[in-house]
Amino acid sequence: MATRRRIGVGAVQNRQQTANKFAAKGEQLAGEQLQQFSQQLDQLSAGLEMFAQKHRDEIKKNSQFRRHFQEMCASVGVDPLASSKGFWAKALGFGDFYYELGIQIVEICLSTTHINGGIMTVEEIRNRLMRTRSRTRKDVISTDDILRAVEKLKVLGNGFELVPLGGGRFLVQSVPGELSMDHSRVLQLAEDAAYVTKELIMDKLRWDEARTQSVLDYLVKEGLAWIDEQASDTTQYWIPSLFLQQYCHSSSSTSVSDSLHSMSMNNY
Amino acid sequence: MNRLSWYTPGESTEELLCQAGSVGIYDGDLKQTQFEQGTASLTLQRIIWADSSDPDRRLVLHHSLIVSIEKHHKSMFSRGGKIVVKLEKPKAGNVGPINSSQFDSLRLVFRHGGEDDFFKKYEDAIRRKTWQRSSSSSSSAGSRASGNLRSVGISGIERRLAENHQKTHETITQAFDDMSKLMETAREMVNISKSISEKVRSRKGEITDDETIQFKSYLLSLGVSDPVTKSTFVGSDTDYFKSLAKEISDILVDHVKENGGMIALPEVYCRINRARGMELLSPEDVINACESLIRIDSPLELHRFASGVLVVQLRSASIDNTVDQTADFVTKLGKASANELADSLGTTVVLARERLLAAEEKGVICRDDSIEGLLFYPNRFLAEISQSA
Repeated sequence: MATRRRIGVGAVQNRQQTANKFAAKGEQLAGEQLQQFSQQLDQLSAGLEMFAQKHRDEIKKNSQFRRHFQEMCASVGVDPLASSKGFWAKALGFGDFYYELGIQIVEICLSTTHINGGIMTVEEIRNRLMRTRSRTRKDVISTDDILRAVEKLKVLGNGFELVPLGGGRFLVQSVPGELSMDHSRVLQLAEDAAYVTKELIMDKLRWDEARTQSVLDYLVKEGLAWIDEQASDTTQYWIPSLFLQQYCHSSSSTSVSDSLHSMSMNNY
Repeated sequence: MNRLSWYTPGESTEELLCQAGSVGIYDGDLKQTQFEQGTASLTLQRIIWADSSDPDRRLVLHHSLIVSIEKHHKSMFSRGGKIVVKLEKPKAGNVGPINSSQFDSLRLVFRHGGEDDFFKKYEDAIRRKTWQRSSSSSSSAGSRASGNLRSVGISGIERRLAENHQKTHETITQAFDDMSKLMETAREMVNISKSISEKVRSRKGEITDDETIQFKSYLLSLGVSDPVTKSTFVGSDTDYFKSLAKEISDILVDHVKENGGMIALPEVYCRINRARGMELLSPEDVINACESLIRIDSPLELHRFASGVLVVQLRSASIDNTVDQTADFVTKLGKASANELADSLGTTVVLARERLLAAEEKGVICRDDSIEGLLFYPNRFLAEISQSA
């Protein structure tokens, strides 16, 4: 009864203060809980990583347990593959180490294709590898290890290639032309002006230089694009089929042979 | 003998520890029994005995009823090694084949041996007292719940959260103590790991910002429960690769369909191995298995491009099957470039070009290789000749 009679500014303020306090407390609790769950997640990951390393054979032997173990790894995001680079792996390339590395490398490439179109430097792969491999392990993966692992994937066809950059550096190209939509996207981009430049592609599609260049090189090689070096600041890549279409549309009076003529002028 | 009960399906986790065939169960010192020949299976909670002549006739002896066990070796007169089990007084309400007995012990007779291993694991299982743990944990949970009733308000909530956290923390720590503990609590740990990652996800969106870890976790979740292994196919590589091809086909077919009908072999290698978990396949095995796809009734096949790129593709998407479709497309438009075909099919330029070239080879379209680029027209030579003929 006492509280019900307390109306007026003071009471309202009081009530608001209490509500604020509750809200703050709630937030604090939720924050603490998230922290605790994250801690438990780390604890689980560490445990799973350790077991994957130490008890590999035992886990493999028991099919029921192996399934459970895999389920745990899946829900926490731990990599069950944890062979270390033993003596034989180093000396002769034997053992599961390089196979496992190969799987992890392909996985990295697949998971980042939407960002880089399947083209990344070996250093970038190495950084990502170190980040996603077990946090509890200290063994370092060298660039050489990555090159060897990629070499082992050679059997699987030319879909996964090392492109030398000079100076011992390499680019890994994981999406073969047959499966790459990049060419189509550049051709689409060229539809307005009938030509593209490297800068335009990098700006509009947010690609890095290596990816852009490899697509342009392919288009030139296949005769889909022509190089025009007349522009002072950049190189233009003209798409003849698009150019002709537009030329014919905009000035139908001009004959095709005229436009062809000007095209060839552009080119030489 | 009156401690035996009829079989009922056990609690969720019952892992088989050991099994022995030709086991008889005898009451006390009696030489006769109704349960002469059967298979005894040991789990952490109980022994399950199944009659050899009628496998549906199954008996159970729970570990909680056991006082002690003893092993007796095979002697000249007995028919096999045996384990003598001393039992507690019978519980009321037991539903079993025999309702009263003068003895407080029974014998398990192993006619074909195996008692040494069985005994060791039996002792171990009894010592671990797993059944107690599950029942005691439920009772302590009950008492905790009643305690919580009294602590209300914010401090009560906080305390309960802290307790829950502490409990999970302990469970995880204990589970990772050693291998056998983790195996024992595997299913519980699977649930814990799922619920924790679920909770983190609901609050943070994802368990990690790293795309690769998210992808990994997705690939792992599509596991195969029984990976095909080489050791089960002694001497027959053909059969091994065929079963492997079946496995690959089952795992990948949906993904290939979603992915435009084709994926490159390195991706196959990655996906199949992730699904298999720790039972790795070498790249050589993967490629051999993919070559066998054609030999089994699979919707997938291996295809080698002129560029040397290898892919697994839907059989319906193979180039030979697309010739007519490509020709129709060219006829409809009057003329077509690889780019136009690619646009209309939603595939890549390189593939579209490949399809056009294949159709050209069959003679249904023909090329115009000009300054405009490579264009294809319907092959009117062929069409009109066949019309006039």
